[in-house]
Amino acid sequence: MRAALKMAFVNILFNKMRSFLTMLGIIIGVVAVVMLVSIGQGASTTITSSIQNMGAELLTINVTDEDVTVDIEDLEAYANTELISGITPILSTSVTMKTGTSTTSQSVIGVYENYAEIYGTDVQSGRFIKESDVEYRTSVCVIGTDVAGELFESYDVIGEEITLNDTVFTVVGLLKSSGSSSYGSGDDVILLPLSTAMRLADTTEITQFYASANGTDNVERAESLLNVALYQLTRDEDAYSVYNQSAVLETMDSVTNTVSLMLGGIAGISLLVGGIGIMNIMLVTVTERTREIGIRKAIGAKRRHILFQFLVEACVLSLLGGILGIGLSMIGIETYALIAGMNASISWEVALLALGVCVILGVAFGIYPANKASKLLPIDALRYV
Amino acid sequence: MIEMQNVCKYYRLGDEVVKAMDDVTLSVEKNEYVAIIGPSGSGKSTLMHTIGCLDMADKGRYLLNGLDVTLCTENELATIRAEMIGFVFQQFYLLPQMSAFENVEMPLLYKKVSSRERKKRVIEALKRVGLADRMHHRPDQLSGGQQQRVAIARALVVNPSVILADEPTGNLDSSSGEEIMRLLEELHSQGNTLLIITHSERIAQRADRRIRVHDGHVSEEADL
Repeated sequence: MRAALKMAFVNILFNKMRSFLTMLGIIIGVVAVVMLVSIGQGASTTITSSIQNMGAELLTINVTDEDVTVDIEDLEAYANTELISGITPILSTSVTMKTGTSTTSQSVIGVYENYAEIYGTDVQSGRFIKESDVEYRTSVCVIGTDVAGELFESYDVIGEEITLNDTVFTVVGLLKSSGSSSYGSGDDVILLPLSTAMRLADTTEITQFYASANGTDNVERAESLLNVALYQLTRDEDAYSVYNQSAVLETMDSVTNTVSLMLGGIAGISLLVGGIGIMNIMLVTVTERTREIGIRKAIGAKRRHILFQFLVEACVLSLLGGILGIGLSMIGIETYALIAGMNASISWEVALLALGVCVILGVAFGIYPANKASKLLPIDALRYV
Repeated sequence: MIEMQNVCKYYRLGDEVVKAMDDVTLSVEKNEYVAIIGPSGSGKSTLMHTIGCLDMADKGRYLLNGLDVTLCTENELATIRAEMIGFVFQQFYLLPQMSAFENVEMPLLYKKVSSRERKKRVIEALKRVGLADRMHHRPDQLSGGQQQRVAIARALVVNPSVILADEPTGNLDSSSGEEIMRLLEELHSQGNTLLIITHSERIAQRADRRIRVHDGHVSEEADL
């Protein structure tokens, strides 16, 4: 066995080019599969976790018909019940923000004081919007960490001032980071008292509400309850819509699954191409070495000796290529994660699967021609040119 | 030791049947030095391959050390080659990727020999052909004569019953050819049976006995 391993290494090292080409097929196959699948899985987890960060218990109500008005007081009758722990109106709008000499467009959300609890966020320093802020339409704001970083390049922002639509706002609180992803950030946000936001947006209509279900198990029943309540209020089932995050989650899941499947398909094709590469080189290699097989048989090697030698060689070569491929994939994935700023880690199941497939291909196509050559009469194998 | 009785071997070449061995009967005793001589195409290579169990006869009986080779399976033939026969080929047939030591060691790997015993026997065989100082050289770092001596050491290492040399000097210049012949004859004088296949009368004259092959037939030629 040790002699066979040694012989395998001698043979692999003797023809470095040939060995390299064989391994290249395996390396390409393994790297393609491992990288694509790992990155796909990484993207999928990133998306899922960023949606889960928004709160799985969150329900979004949109009043889509402009002629219909839904009062928060009417809806609040359903809050603090068995199914729904709270409902809060929100107003999303876009304002112009002046910083120094440049103006940029910034999205702001007008909120009630209970927004933090329902949306599942909190301040990390300072305070949140208070009831009195809403009541007296004060010019205060709470900002997300991305905004803080962009505007002030520091998280020490309490008391700083921001100009929105020519009104000066005082920063009273900094939100906790909700974790950013390349799919948009929950930290790039400015929260204002609802009444102040309504004046900025020049509107009196509230068309969007957040409700939070009382526990994740009650999300769907809370959604039905809200649908019934809204129907009673509006008498028009096309005038509103209720979403829950789990529906979004499911949609995103199916999207990422499709993407993963597609990546997996591409990876599978790469593996196939790699496999064909392995096959070709192995066939050529063993055919080239028919004379060697003849010599070995002439001096007393039995068929099983020949087969065993080629088996060991194919295994060593395939494993070396596979390990190199996994190493390269790890470097590639780290680099990708660094550049794209995404979480992606090697998927060991897939790595082992790809390795397994390549080793099986390498061995199968190493053994098949070796078996053929080992069946030749030694004299015919010797004469082979 | 080698007993052939009415051995035939035919090849089909297109529509023509070539009789490479036609009713060959011969015998070689232990410690003999025999030359098999004949022009190319006479069937002498086929004869040697059959004697060396590389090829099977179509008809007739072939006894090697009393064993009926014609009844052997492929695996048994491999064992016979490993145990009883030492080949020396015209083209040396060394494996280019392995050192002289590893080439000589190879036949022992196919027998159950411990690694210490292998080392001892390989070094001993290389000493006998005068190449102990070159055992870590690869074939491409050796001259033709040296390569052929490695091949002879590879044949010797298993202590074969017979050394079969197929045109051992065919690829060598005359002075290294002479060296190789002397080495083979020395091995014969130490008690090895030696069969040399050649087309050269000059080499054949050195043997104790000559077997002439012509169109698949053999004829003995007594020593002068």
